[in-house]
Formats: sequence, structure tokens, C-alpha cells
Amino acid sequence: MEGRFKFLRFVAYAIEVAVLYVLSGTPGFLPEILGVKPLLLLPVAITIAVFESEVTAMIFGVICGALCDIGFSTDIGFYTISLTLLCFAFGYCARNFFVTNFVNAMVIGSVTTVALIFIHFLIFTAGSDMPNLWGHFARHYIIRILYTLLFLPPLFWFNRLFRSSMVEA
Amino acid sequence: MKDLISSKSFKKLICVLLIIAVMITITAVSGRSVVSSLLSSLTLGLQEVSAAVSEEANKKSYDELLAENEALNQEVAELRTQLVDYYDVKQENARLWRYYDLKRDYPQYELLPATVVRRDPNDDFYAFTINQGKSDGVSVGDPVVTAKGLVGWVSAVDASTSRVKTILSPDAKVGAIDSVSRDSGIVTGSVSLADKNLTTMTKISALNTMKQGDIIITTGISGLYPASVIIGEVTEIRFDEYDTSKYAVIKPYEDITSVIDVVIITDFEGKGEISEGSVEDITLPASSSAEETTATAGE
Repeated sequence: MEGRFKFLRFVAYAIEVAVLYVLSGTPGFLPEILGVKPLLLLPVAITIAVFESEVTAMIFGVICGALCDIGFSTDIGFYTISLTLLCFAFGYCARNFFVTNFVNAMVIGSVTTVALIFIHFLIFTAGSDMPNLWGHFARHYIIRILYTLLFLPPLFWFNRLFRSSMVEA
Repeated sequence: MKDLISSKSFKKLICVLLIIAVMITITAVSGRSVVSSLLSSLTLGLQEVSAAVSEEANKKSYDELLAENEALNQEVAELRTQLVDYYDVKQENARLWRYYDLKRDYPQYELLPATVVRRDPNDDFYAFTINQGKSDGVSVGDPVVTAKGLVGWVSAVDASTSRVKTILSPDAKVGAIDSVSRDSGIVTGSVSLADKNLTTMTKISALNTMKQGDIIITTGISGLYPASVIIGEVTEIRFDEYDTSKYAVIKPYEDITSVIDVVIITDFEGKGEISEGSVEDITLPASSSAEETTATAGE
């Protein structure tokens, strides 16, 4: 029963990830704010990780990270590695060190989102010869961080509701 | 920490990281991203469906399309009006340039530009009505020209329009001279040649030396037309079928059958005066009187 329940969750998460990946890249679906779209797969991976075991969290970290990387440059790399490690860590910590609740999830999700997008900026953009680099950061990256964080609470509640409804079932 | 490192989960993590590292290395070495291709293929169908749904959702409603259509139709109408204005201005500009050229070429003439407003379909000799009349200073008998030469004369005038008969008409009797051979004659229209934009020069001497290509100009001896206005060029010399005299077929440089912009010479030096000195040179007793008769009758 537990195995079947786990499999269903796994399938459901996979569908969630696939749908959000597709929607995040669909032209005209999500409104752009000053030309910026949110990275929906970051909050998805984090909110799955805080509810699941470290291995399941890691698997979805790999998938979400790879999809983020593909959307950016067609090569897997930064997000794949970082989300693999972080989701594994969140899954492990959620099991052993802290209780998964809204506040904890928001803190972890916010810090992770800000850190990852900022590091991504430092690695891929700050090294380039782009003029007015920090203006670009303010106009695009900060908006991307804020826009992405907007989706963290609904995704947390969605995954929580989904998990609790499956447990009840 | 020891528990974590020795756990199966951690080993799985290391394995996954190794796999990722291998994939990154393969991608970097081969230049082909297998993972990217695989994931793209897997999500392609979904992407297409979502794009189609999004496109459908972003389509404009019937009311929006109707409003847009109305706005565009209005814009098209405005632009069409502007285009008509543009063509009017362009034509006006071309007309004024021709007028300017004439004015420069003939500073001694009083010129009045005019536009053909009507062409009588019943007239076989391409008579037309122009938009200048008595109130503009036009009078019967005034010569009508273009930059290319003589077109005709004003045969009737009312307050704001004038009727012009062309040199293709048999009513025309214009004293003319060959600018090369100095042979003189009367330019008058012909029923058989008018539709080809041709006229004739009659009453020329049997001993004339006119030849094809000679330019025919007005004599100006009657005082009805200014001297040296170009009429056309000789295309052929023929014998009259009723007597032994010759006549020349003249092709006006202007296409009189379709002329639109003309200029009326309302005044010129010697208007209404018979140039006696010239009569002797040109030897045109019959033609001179004929020209004058016609014009006088018109007036």
C-alpha cells in the first residue's frame, strides 16, 4: 500500500513538474513583468523536497534542475547540480532536523531562490562585458526573484493539500 | 553526519552527481546534449498543446475584431483621401513646372495655365473645355499651347470656362512656315488624319523643298497667333487628290487627343495686328486672309 501510494505521489509530482515546465515556457500564458518570467521549477523542486524523503527530493531536484538548465542554455549544469544537492539536503533535513510547516518552507524556499538566482547571475552574467551590469540585475534579476517567490506559497499549499488528501485516501 | 555519509541515500546522491558529471563531460566533449534532446522530445507534445491553447486564449474576440476592423477601415479611408490629395498635388506640381518652363521660354507672352475639364465625345477633332473663362481674362481666339507646341485656339468663352478647338480640326487655319526650307502654308485639320493626331499643311508651293522631319512653326503674320510657336514636324509630303498642289502631313509634338494641361496665351506682342513686313517674305495672301477670317468669325 505504501509502495503504491509512493508511486502515485511520484507520478503526480512528475506531472506537476512537466505541466509547470511547459506552462512556464508557453508564450502568452504567464504575463511578463518588464520582460521577465518566473522560474516556476525552483519553488516546485523546493516544495516537493520539504515533503519527501531525500532520495525522492533529489530525483525531482535533478529533473527540475535539468529542465531549468535546458530552458536557459540547452546544457545541464548549474541548476541540475545545485538543485540535486539542495533538494537532497532539504529532504534529509525535513526528515531529521525540522518540521515541515509553512514558515519553514517559506524561509528555506526564499533563501534558496534568492541565492540560486543571485549565484546564477554572478556566474553567467556578471562575468560578461555587459554594460550597466547592476542596473540589469535590478531590472531583471530582482524582478525574477520576486516573481518566482510569488509562486512559493501556492505551490507549497498545493503540494501539502495533495499529500494530505492522498494520506487520507 | 557519519550516519548521513554512510547511508544509502548519500551513496545514491553521489551516484547521481557522478552521472550528472559524466553527462556534463559528454556534452562538453561531443557538443551534443543528450539530456536536452531527450527532455525536449518528451515535452514537445505538451509544449505544442499548451502553445495552441495559449494562442487560442489570446485570440481577439469578435467585438474586438469588429472594432479593429472599423478602425482600420477608417484609417484606409483617410489614407485614400490623402493619396488622392497627393496625386492632385503631384499633378498640380507637374502642371506648374510646365507652365514655368513655358513662361521662361516665352517671357513676352501673357500666359494663363488651364486644365482640360471636359472633352466632348461627339467632336471628331478632339475639342475640349478648359477651366478658365472670361473672368480669368480669356477671350475668343486666344491661342492654346503646351510646352510642346500649339494645341488650338479658344473658340468660345463663358464666365468660367472656355471651349478650345484643336489644330486637328478642319476649322483651323493657322499660317505656318517650315523653319528649315522657309516654305509657307496653312495648317488645317483633316477628317482622315485627326484620329491619328495628325494635321496637314496645305497651300504649299509646288516647288517647295520641304522634307520629312522639318519643324513647322507659326508665322504670326495675322496677329492671331504669336510668331514661331511650334506646331509639329513634317512626316510626309503628299499630292492633293483634287488638284496638283501638295500638302504636308504634320505631326504635332503634343498628343492633342489626350492633352490635359494647357496654357492660354492671353496676350502677346503684335496681337491683332497684321504684320505687313512678314507678308512679303512669306507670300501668303490667300492663307493670311483665311486665317484672319476664321479667327474673326470666332470672335
